[in-house]
Amino acid sequence: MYLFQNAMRNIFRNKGRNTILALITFLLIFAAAVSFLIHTAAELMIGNARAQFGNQATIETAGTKVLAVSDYLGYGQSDLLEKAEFSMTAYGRLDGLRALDEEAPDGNANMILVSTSRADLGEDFRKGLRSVTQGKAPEKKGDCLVSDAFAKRNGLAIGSSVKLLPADAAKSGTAALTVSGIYTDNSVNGAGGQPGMPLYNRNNEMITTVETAAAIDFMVNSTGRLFDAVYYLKNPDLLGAFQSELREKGLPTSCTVTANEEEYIQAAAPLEKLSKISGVFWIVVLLLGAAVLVLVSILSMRERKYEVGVLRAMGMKKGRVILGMLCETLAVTAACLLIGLGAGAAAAQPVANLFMQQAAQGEQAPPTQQDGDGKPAVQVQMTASAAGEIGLVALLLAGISSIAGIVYITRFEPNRILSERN
Amino acid sequence: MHLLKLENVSYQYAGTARKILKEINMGSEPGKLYVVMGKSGAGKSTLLSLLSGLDLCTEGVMLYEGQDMKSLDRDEYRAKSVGVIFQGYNLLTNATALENIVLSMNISGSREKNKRESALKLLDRVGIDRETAGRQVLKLSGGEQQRVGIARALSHNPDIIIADEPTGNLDGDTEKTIMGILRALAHDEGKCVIVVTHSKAVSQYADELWGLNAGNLVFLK
Repeated sequence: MYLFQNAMRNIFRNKGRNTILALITFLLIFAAAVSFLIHTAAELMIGNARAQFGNQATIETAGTKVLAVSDYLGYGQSDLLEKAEFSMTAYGRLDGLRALDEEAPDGNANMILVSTSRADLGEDFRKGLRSVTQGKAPEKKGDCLVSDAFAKRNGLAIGSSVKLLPADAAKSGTAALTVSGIYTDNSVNGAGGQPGMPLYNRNNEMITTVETAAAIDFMVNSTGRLFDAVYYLKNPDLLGAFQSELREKGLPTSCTVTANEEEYIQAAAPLEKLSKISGVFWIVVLLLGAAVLVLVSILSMRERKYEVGVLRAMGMKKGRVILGMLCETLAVTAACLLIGLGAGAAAAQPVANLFMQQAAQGEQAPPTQQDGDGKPAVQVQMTASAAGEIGLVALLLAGISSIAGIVYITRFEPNRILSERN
Repeated sequence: MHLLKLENVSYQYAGTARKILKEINMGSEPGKLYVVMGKSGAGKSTLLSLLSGLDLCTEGVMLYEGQDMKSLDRDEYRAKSVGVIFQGYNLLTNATALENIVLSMNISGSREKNKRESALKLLDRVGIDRETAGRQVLKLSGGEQQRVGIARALSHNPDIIIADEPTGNLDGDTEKTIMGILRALAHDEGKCVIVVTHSKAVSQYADELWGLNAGNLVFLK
């Protein structure tokens, strides 16, 4: 106990030396905290960007090569995927019903069958441009949604049947869908109003599931059919394995599986720069800090050589001398740690913003300093684990440097120290 | 039985051929004040280092209570068994006089309940008042530092007190007081007091007077 008390008193007895030591320690902890926090935040953001963009795979077909819808759907059956999303747009003709903006049946396509595998029915519904106002979204095979305007024109209600024919009148086939719900289109554009142009009217779109649409052969094989497949990998690193699996399933070599690397690069490039700079800075601070602390500790111990001699002459054991001085250094470090962590946490965000601004200047993409919510793009936070890590490193550095100095000084016998001084 | 006994003790620094101390024989008992006189360079400081357990002899045997010093825990010996009054004081200069004494008590493992009060009494005994006791050693005069050094040597109630020129920085009156204290420690409290000095005035207090000349120790009276 007396060792600790004496160590605490020594801090104030040697104000000058301890102030210098505290200042150096504070600056090191401050710089280390800023760089560490920025590095950690940037790494987290890179991870998020990778998870957000790096795991979406699509199939790029070469030239005019068109893959069958069944192939796209089959490729979605993989253990490497978290999920797969499909959407298809195809044209057709109404059998016995009139499309909006249709002047008179002319044998041309007058409706669009929009299908999606997404539970939220796609972007229009997610963004509120469309909403289901009656009934419910298609669930069973053969279910569909029609617009309220289309339903009104044709006197359709929930449960009504809608018959479809191929867009090309020369082709044969028919399909029947059941109205499971009615949607309202809230968008300004595409509301139609151009007589003779029913395909320009969004209210002529019937919405169904990909499963239903894929079962209608004349739709699947129609001219102008658009099919979109996005495969969500469980891990961005599985891209190669997924492509190999698709090759085994028969994906032609002319087709390639690609991830949305561009988006990832665009989002992560400034962050990677930031992470790299802060990471290097963190290591430099630690190495430089360790060297400076060892030097300061040795210089400070040389100054305390006489004190060590006196204590040893009084019979204090070498281990206790070391422990007392270690207590002193660690107490100073702990105080600096508290102030340094606080100051570091406060300064890290503005420094990160500055770095991001400069890093983004070199990129093609505009600076993404703020996200959609107006928050800074890199959210730097002092978490308990970050504080713990920095604290541990600081105390370790202080301990090692202090021991280096103390061991240097306790090599000498007290008799030698005292006789040198006297 | 001798408390401290030197048998054919010699000392030479590593890498040198000259012996600083040459086959010294001396025994010291509790309750006596020993004075070792010698000129500068006679080997007084080296003898003091050996007696105080700061160093070991290179030849011969040094016994404390019959036990070879080489097999003793010398830190323990310095902390509990011997109190040294250094010529150069060797105090912690940035601590107060009082803190020096209390720290010495703590190092020795003293079970004194109120160390602070005991330390103040000790300091008062050597002529350091309470106000001076609370001052930093660095701000005390040479004489005051010498007194603090004496108080520190007594602080852990050791069996042996070794003093290197204990009155060197003191005036005549204080010299008498200090030597009186040392003699009282020997005669009244049964301590073994060994004073190393070149002062003839100090020699008059000796129960046994020894002379050290060119590393040879001889009994004078």
